[in-house]
Amino acid sequence: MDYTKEIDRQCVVFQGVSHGAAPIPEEGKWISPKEIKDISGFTHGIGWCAPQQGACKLTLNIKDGIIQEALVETIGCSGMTHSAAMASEILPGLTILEALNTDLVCDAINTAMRELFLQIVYGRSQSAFSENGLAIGGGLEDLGKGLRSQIGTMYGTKEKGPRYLEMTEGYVTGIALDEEDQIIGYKYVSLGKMTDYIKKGDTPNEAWEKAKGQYGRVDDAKRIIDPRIE
Amino acid sequence: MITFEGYERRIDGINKVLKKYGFSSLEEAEKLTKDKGLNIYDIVKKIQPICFDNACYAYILGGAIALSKKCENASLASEAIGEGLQAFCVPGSVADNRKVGLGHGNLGKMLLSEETNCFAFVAGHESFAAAEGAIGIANNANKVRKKPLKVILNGLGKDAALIISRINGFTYVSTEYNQYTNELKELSRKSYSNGDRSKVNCYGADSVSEGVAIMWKEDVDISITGNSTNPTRFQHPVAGTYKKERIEQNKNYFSVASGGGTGRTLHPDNMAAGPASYGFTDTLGRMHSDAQFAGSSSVPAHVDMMGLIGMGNNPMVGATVAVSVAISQVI
Repeated sequence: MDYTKEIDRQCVVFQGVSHGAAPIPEEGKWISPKEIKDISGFTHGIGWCAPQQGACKLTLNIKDGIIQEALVETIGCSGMTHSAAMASEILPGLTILEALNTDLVCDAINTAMRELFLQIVYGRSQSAFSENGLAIGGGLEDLGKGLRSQIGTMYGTKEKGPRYLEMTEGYVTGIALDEEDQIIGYKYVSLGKMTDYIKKGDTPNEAWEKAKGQYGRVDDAKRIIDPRIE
Repeated sequence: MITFEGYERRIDGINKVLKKYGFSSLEEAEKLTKDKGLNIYDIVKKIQPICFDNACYAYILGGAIALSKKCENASLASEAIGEGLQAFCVPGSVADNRKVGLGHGNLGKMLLSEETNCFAFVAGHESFAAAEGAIGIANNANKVRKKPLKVILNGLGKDAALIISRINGFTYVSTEYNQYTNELKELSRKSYSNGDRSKVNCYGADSVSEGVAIMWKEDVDISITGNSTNPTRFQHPVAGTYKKERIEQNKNYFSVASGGGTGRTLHPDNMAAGPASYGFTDTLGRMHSDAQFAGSSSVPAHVDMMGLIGMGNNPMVGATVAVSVAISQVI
């Protein structure tokens, strides 16, 4: 380390502080993080791309600074699904510092990584107060049964009003309308469950019937319309 | 054989409780409930269709405990159900540390006791899940209470309040708040069904002050806050302000912080920089609540991550009441 002449000439004024970083809650412990390996936890980051036509939700399970588990969810653009595929292979094993300067292929995923980094190093996590954090596999629990992302797809126009197309529960097959043609519920089929039934040997029609459900006041409906056609 | 999400991490704790009450297995506990004509699995699934299987089995265990303790009323059954929920908590998790399972049982007990007049879901109005809890309570609590329990939803947003009422068959109460005189005026009310659900009043507020005025209008004495959507702008300020005003007037008010921010630290303050810039809504909940749950008021996966079970905290309140009432009717 070199010092300039100006610094060499100066006398020493002692620093009177040495507290360091305030501790943050990590996996049931209070840690004052100094280095990347001091960071552990399970958290999320949300990112978007330059033209704002797509978004990514990134979920990482980090142990001692290293990404052990990555869940990459994207919405809005077909290309980014391929980027997500690559990122799921690239991310595990990297330290979170490396991941910042690793090309995650898509603006939205890179941005999500940046936001996730900020969340985790500031102590913002799902696992702050859980002893030893979440087990590897916690990311799949975020998806729930059938391992499908929770996606909402809705559409509305001034002329023709709202249409529900996709809910957490599944693909919306019908929206229930009251006598004033206002929405009072919806019918859906859970695509995850249906596919699981078919894989186990049900016929597609049986599986379709078994995976059906409804929400709200469907039984009070004056009529039920197909939101994609009617 | 019964299996459910996170089986390995939970089964040791469950077995301990099974043994304590003389059951050899979960199957045997389930058989006791079925022999009494109860289908607890279906009761729970009906309240929140997207809940996890571990939620259903936690209530089955709780129900079996209530039956084996011969709980003579729904209020006591609710407390026993809390033991079942607690048994499902992952050791070392937030839910385990904060005794969230027992807390749910105790909340159910209070809702079923005659001293409670009005229970409010103070919500972000972001999802239908508060409604799922309200429906569970509305359909069940008054079967066993002498004096009916009032249930209300109080959230930010008047349009959302109307749509939630319409989809769930509640009564939408349209109000207007005068910021100059602090008066709350009821403009109109419309019931979207005829049954017990129509007795649930659903309000939308434009501001914290209006939210507090709605609490006073309904004389709320227990509330549960959602914590992830609008928590710093509405739910916590409403619950905290109302708490202060109730104390000033020597009136009881039990506040529960239930949702998104609790037990995790995802939420930054508005600068998101510097020390202690984590867990803002967890902190807000601590400032006024008498009890704190963990995870999410609505999302099953987020409650499961906290080590409890896969069911939103609000629907869980409905499920506890529904199962407690069902048990009290067969004992």
